[in-house]
Amino acid sequence: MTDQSRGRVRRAREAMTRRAFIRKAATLGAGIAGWQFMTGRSAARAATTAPRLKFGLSSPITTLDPRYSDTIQNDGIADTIYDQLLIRDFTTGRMTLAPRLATSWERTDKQTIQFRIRQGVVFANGEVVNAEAVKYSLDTVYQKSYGAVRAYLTPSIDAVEVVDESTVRVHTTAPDRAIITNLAALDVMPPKMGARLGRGMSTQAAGTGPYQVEEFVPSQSLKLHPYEKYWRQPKPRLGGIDISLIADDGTRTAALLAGDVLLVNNLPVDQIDRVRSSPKLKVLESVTSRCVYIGMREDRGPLKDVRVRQALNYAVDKAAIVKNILQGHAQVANSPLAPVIPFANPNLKPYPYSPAKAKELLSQAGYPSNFTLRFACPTGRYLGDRATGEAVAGYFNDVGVKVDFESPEWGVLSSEVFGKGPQSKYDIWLAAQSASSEDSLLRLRFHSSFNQRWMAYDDPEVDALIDAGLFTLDDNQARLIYYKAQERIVADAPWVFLHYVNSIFGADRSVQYTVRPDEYIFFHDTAIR
Amino acid sequence: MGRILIQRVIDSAVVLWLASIVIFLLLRVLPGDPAQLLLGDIATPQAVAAKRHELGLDRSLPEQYLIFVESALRGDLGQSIRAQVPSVPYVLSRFPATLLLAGSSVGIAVLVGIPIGVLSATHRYSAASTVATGLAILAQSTPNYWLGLVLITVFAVALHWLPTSGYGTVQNLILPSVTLAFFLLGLIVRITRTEVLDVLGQDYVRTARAKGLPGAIVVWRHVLRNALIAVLTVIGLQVGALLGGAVITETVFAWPGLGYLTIQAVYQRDYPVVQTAVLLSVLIFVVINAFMDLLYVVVDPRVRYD
Repeated sequence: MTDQSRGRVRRAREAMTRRAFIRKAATLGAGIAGWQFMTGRSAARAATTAPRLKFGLSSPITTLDPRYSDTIQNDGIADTIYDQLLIRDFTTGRMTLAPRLATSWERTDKQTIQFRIRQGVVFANGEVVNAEAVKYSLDTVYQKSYGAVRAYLTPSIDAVEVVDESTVRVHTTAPDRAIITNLAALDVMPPKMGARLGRGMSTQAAGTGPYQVEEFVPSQSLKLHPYEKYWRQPKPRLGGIDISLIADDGTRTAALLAGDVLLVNNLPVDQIDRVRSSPKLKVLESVTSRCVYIGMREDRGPLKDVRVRQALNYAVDKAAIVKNILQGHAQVANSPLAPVIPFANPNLKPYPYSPAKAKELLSQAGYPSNFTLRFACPTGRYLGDRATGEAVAGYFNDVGVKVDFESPEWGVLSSEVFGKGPQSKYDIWLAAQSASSEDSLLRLRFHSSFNQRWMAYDDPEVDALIDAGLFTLDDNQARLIYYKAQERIVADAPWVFLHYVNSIFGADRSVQYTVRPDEYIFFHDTAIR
Repeated sequence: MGRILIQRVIDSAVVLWLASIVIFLLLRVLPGDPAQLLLGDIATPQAVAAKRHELGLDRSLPEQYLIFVESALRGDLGQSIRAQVPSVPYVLSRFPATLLLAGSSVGIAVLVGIPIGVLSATHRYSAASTVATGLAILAQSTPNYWLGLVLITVFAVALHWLPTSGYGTVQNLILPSVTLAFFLLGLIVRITRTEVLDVLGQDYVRTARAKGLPGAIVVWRHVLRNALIAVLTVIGLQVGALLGGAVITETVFAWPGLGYLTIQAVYQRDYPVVQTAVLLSVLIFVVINAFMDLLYVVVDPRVRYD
């Protein structure tokens, strides 16, 4: 071999070794990176000592700002990060109000409520809870310029006054008995941070609640860690909470069965037995105020006649729907207000199932068997909604009422029924409504100044009762008024009153969690044994 | 080459612009009011009207579109109505997950499908070939949703080998990418087989064999490169669709990708998010098409652009 070629061979060998070295290093690097990627998460988790709760949620958390949240689950999560002035307490089985950041409240006159604010509570960013913070939190909801979603709770507030560091006065345009209850849905937020970030509060939060935000990916996941300066007892008992979106019913149940999560909400009815029979799992359930109903436009032909509307109530076997479609996880409705809501009328009986009575009423009204109703029924929005709607259509057919059944997507249904109002292509629709107070449901659904567009229900006596109830600050008198209002509404039958659905969660047996009748998700007392 | 590139960029810009008009109009023609849906059915008509005004939805369509284009040219495609964050970063943040899922699925489908397709063509009269073709048809007919849940039930719930859903580790990736790969796998096997069979019958292949070249080299050098043109086209179209987000698979596996985000935004009529997601999909299709065109030049020396 010549020198030249020997040199060439030597350089070629060196080059190959270089290439080989680079290749080996790259492989090793990739291997290390891959290994770290695979084991990284488990290593991080091993470092924390208290157990973390993994929670599979059925709908996405889009924002951390409760003033703009769009679902009750979203609201509920915010209420773990933030505290309210007072909360709805269901320990007695019926809603009462308990103090939280407000230590007490009183009506100083018919249109003013004075709150005393708890001292010594600190937001997670260091700001202090005081009257200014409360004023800020209420202003940014009730003042229309903010466009808050929760503004529907505060239509009567016209001013919030800081009296001193620990006293706030809320002024209403007229006497309002519901406003205190409605305030239980409003969170106290840090004013300086809020003023600085504005809409930026949708991705950042600093509250006074038991768990604060560790990491938030909108519409995907939320990680919470315990707040070491939490002011209440018991102190947070979880090492942290990992909330992930698992929208598909089947996957969410599978995640619980496989142990990937320890708690899920909206457990599908057909999975309840499976979860119950598993030795590691349990079903957690609560009654709620969510009333499933068939809404009817009272300005459409036969529906104008109250006898027809009552007939439609008699035509449906509500108990059978509860038993067979909801497997007993609901209660037949006797009133739009469910028993957990104060002043729900316990003396009213549900319309019994009587096709004979239904036919009799229909022929009395002059419609023995010749009209068709166009029916919009959602699918997958409420527990058992589609099946219930189809059953109702079947019962209507049995008494001679024909039904054009459609299941449009909710956006379309909403735009027809609630948007187009009188021009809606549907005569009846299925929906559900929960009540945040005795006033809110009755007013927003049955008072003629609100429901005109979608129901055209106008009963001056009902309007007068609802208004009187709101203005009556004495509980006993208010009770009589609300009982009468419900009696009247049920007799008017603007709805077919179906049932109140339960809220159903699935959990690992080690999880201590209380399902709430107002469907909010509170982790305050949650623990893992 | 430079002139081709400039032409491509101009064409892509025109496509994007036309797509923006279409999606803009379609969304606003679709029944459903984002303000109404955000505030809920308990909202008063006044509150809904105020929200519509705040969102700029009470202006005329041409005015709304001009505002949209004006901000778009600055890179701002609006704010998500629900999440109240700028829609471009919001949508883009879901892209890596979609890219990972699409890439893995295509990878599985190609690495498994092409060899099976080739082998089932070169050994066309064997039982294995018939079985492979049958399985490929089965794979194409299997519904995504069902397959995903079956895989979860077997491998996650029963065997505990893999997590049921979620995102972050390699284990999370396996079931969703297998589910998504299934259909494409079947498609690739069948198309590869057909194309290879077609090419095997050509004269130049007989010539190559007659020259005495070993079978494997014949297949590799002469057959595959010709057969792959059709396969590449199919893969390109599928990848474009996958990168727009595989809604069903993402929903079943709680995979935080573009597909699930987009469908939620459609239900909520979150116009800015839908517009951003659709435009991103169009852009991806355009880029992939351009890339595929380049690949043709590599694979088929007869292809020239002038």
